Amino acid sequence: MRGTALLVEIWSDVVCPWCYIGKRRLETALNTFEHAADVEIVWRSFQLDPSAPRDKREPVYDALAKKFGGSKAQVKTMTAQVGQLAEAEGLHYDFENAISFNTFDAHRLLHLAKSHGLGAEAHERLMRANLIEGAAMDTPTLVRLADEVGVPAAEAERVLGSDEYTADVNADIQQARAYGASGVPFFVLDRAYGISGAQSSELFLQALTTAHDAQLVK
Amino acid sequence: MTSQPVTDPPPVASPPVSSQAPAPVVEPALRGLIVLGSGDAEACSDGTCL
Repeated sequence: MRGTALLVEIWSDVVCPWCYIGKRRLETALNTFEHAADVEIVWRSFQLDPSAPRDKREPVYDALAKKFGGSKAQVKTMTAQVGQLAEAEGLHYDFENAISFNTFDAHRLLHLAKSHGLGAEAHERLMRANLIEGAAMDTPTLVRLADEVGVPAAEAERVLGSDEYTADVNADIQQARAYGASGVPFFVLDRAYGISGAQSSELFLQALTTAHDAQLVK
Repeated sequence: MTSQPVTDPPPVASPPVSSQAPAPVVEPALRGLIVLGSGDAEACSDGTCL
């Protein structure tokens, strides 16, 4: 029998390597959480670099080399650790082909997917496309990815050509700021417990248990 | 009658630190939430994930 829903809100950006790792670790915890059927996951938008030009896409290594004033080789060394930890979660990142881009439109698309009940599927697909598949992440790519998870391509194209869901994306970002979150992934359980970063699956399991037990004493 | 010199009132002592309210359970960095987990988590911020 299902109990009271346990709300898990996750602020994330589709270009965020730690967000994908955190997602996997949370999923590992959910695999052993006794009340996983009661958990409702809601993905929320967050932009790591809202100032990135909307019409520009460049390889992640180039973007990081510019940001830090180092060479591509130095940037590769810097990203090695996150790549290794991703491997431990079964995620084979391809930073060589990953793209740095302004993710605002991707987030609008994710809100469209959420309106179809496909928010989680779309978030997973977009992260995989960027971090693992090295997809171009331009409008045709976003339409294709949306279509792959079940969002009608024509609807995705129409939304990306408009400013629909702008308020929804901004509201998510505003809520993260209200909590004081400065980075992602950022998890909030039952609007009471906050978890910053890609913590261990053991910590996520403890947090889920804590939030669930707290519901019982309400 | 001679007037008395005006003197400053004695300073009011501040309460010792130990008598002040205990540190809040809620982490100030995350307003309104009870923070679970360590503070040195792996996360991206300001466009940086390294």
